[in-house]
Amino acid sequence: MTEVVTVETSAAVFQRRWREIEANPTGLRPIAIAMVASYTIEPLLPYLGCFLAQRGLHAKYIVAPFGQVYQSLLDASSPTRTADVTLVLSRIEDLCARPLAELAKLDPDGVQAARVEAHSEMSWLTAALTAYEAATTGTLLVGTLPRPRFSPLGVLDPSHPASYSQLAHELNLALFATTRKSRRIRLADVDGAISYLGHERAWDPRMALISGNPLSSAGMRHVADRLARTIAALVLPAAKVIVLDLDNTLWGGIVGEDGPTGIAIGATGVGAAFVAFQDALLAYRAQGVLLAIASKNNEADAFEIFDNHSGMRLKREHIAAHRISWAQKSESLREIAAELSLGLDSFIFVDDSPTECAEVMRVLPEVTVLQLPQDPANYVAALAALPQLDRMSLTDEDRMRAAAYNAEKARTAAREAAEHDPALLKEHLKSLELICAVRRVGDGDVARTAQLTQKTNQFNLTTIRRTEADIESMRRDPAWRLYALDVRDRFGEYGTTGLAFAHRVAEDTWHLDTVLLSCRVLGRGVESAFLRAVTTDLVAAGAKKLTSQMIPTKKNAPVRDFLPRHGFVETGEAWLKEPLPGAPFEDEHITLQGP
Amino acid sequence: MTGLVERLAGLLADVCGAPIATLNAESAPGVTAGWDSVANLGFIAAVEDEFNITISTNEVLAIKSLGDMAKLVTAKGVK
Repeated sequence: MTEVVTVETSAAVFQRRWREIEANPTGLRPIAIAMVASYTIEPLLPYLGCFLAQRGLHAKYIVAPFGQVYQSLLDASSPTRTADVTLVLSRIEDLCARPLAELAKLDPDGVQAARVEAHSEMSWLTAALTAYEAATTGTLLVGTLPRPRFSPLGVLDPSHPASYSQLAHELNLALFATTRKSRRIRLADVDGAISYLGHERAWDPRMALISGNPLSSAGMRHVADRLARTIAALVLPAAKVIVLDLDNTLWGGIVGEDGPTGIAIGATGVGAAFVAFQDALLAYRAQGVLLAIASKNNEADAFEIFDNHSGMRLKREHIAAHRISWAQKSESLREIAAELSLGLDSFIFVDDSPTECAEVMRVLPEVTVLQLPQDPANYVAALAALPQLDRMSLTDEDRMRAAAYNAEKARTAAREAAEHDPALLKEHLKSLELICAVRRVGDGDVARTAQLTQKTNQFNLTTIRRTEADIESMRRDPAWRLYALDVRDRFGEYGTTGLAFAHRVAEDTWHLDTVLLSCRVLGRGVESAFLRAVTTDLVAAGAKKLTSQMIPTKKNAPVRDFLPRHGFVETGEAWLKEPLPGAPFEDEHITLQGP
Repeated sequence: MTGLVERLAGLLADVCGAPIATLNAESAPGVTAGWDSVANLGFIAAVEDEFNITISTNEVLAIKSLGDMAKLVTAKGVK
């Protein structure tokens, strides 16, 4: 395996690695990235390309002429318009060169006029961004504006009306406002990356003179790393579960030896570091990441802490699954994955012990392993550094997910009683009072829809992954019908948990290109009700035949009998169902609404 | 090739993709395959990283060959 590149890796390694990737991108998923910048951007490309390759992506660049930000954005024939992601990087020094020079003269009227002009430049930029968004289907990723490195006012700058730094804040606020009004214009925090490294190290005035690129080699590595994380988060699913060790991970000390009063967790001393770490974990839980425990301990000792220790932020109800025993950690992780019906490739394992981390890495290479640093003060930073936790969209389902898993636990308890008795099972399904609401994918559904195509592995007929941009363009195409399914029962909401995409292939024939359900709603006959609703809608649109296909993967065994079970007949390559709607669906226990 | 020129040629080969065997003290930016203006910036950054030195704007502009770079690096105390 090739060595991992980081922001510390030397320039020559990036250059060589990037040439190797360009020569042989096998196994990497291509992503077209347009670069629109106010300065020479070519030197940044190898760094960005290497970081993206590390996330499994092959950057195929389309570079607009430098310094022509507006022209490139407004030019209807610009090749950048076909890109999956268009990066727009600019600097206040380039965008507002004249207003900055005017501000430096300090003439009171001139200062006011210069500030107005700078804001007007920003309005031009945001208008161009909005126009570009309307004309394209990809994502526009706009770099936040780094504050100018020098102000002629020096230390007086933040206290003076001609302040450069205040102007930078205002212009960035205008950018924020634009992204809040738009779904496909997002920000990448270039200013944050430069501040993180420090202006002194991030800029290289020699390079600005020689090449027109103002960043130092270190500056480019940090900016590229931030951009790569942002781009990867647009197209790759975030981790779904964080599995945690207990002793010296969630608290200091060993509960089995030190006892509940001997461990460090609370307001003072090193205990406060563990509180901060638990708060960070709860913040990820609020974004939809489930928390689980894999610990070698006595279960009663451990839960005594969760239930009764006043310093704990994490409580028993925050834990979606746990294995507290003396089993190997890899075995505990496997069991937790089975219990939650989630793939181990979406797991992060966190432990302070090098031995335990090594065991999990060896047995379960698909799991992301975080070995905590020596000092608990650095735990939060170590967690935040994991790109697997990055996300660029946050849906209502994400925010509600942890609560939904708690409802699921209650359902499981109810179902287990009925497990081995078909009559009882039927009775149980009826008692769930399931409601399936089917609707066309709407404006507010695009993020969740793309996310479901990317994350659903088990009940997924064709496993075709799609980006938000793909969903946008399919929605605009009248030959496509995109259906979303919302499920709820008496225990609570499952949210949007199913998708079906159909497109018309002939006057009377529609093809089911995608059918998928989140594993949370499997085993309840929901797929039958969903197909009935979709079929009814397509029949109303003139469908007399329905075709589909089944693409087997390692993980989609649960979907294999979906087509034959619903009256589809295999005809060579494809599956065919006619006439419609066909045999009755076994979904009497479900109330169907829509579309 | 001297040891230093060889080391620099290794860095340049990484940056511009030319086989190291084709590089020598006479190799020049704009002439040697792959050694274009973008590669030149990468080369400067790589040399600074490798030898922990700083090269000034005028020095960068004065480098017309791999041999020039070797002389410059030597003048900065690298043996």
